[in-house]
Amino acid sequence: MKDEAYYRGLLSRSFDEELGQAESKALEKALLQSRELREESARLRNLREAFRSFPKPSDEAFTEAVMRQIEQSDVYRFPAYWLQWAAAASAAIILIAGISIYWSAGSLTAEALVGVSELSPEDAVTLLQAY
Amino acid sequence: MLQQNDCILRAKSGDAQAFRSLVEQHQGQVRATVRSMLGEVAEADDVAQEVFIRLHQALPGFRGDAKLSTYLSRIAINLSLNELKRRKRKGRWLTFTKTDGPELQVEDKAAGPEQQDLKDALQRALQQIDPEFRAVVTLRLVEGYSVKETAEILDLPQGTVASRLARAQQKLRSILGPWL
Repeated sequence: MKDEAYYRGLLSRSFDEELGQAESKALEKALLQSRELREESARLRNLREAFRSFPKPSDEAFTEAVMRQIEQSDVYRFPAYWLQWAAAASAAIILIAGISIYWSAGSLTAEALVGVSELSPEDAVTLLQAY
Repeated sequence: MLQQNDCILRAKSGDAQAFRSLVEQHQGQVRATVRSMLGEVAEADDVAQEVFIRLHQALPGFRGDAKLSTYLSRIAINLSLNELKRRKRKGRWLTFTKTDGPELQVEDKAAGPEQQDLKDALQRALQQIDPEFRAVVTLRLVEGYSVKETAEILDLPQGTVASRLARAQQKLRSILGPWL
């Protein structure tokens, strides 16, 4: 027969883990024989029951406080979101413009970008004479 | 009340009403977890609110691999442990400077069992065990998670959870003797 501390240890473990067959049988036998161990078992059950009935507070004020904080954080985050959208839109516009210039001028040189790639020196003379 | 999965999907798409519903459904669980970890103190509800703010921030990436309640418990335990560390640091500083701030609470050891009800006794007993053990007790005994779920939430082996529970239970049993 093992000492009382051993059976108390087994009892404590028995609530949360599956004991081995030998341990389980030994505990059952000890519970039948020892009144103190049965009382200890009842106390542990009471302890666990008491924790199960731990209050779970719930009220509208808490929900309101959370929603208020989230609203505030959304307000603070608005400029960042706005900037992201603006940056994405700008990138899209630049990309579309680049594609359309390449499509019409056949290259992306500085002349093509400023729109003078198809002008020849004679055109410049003609333009100067017109003014 | 909206179905939870529906609520999560709608909250992810920015529906404030759906998110409100999630807060209503889970605040009891989250607040109980945080109070069990920190005690009945003013900052407990602040930490519980922070849990939902973190959830709101994480919602776009929430894939639903874990149950929402498990996910919230994990955040609640982590934030509570952070708060306890912060409190400990602050406590050390206050001790060093010998200034008594309003946060310092003196335990009334003279109060006998008859002056407290079981709830207060449980709360006090919980505060007397190490935070790592308290987290296990909170998830297993207060929230009713299985040992396996508790181990997953705390990222610990199941054996460690079981042994911590057994040791914490023995300590709580000895503290709460008069009430049991």
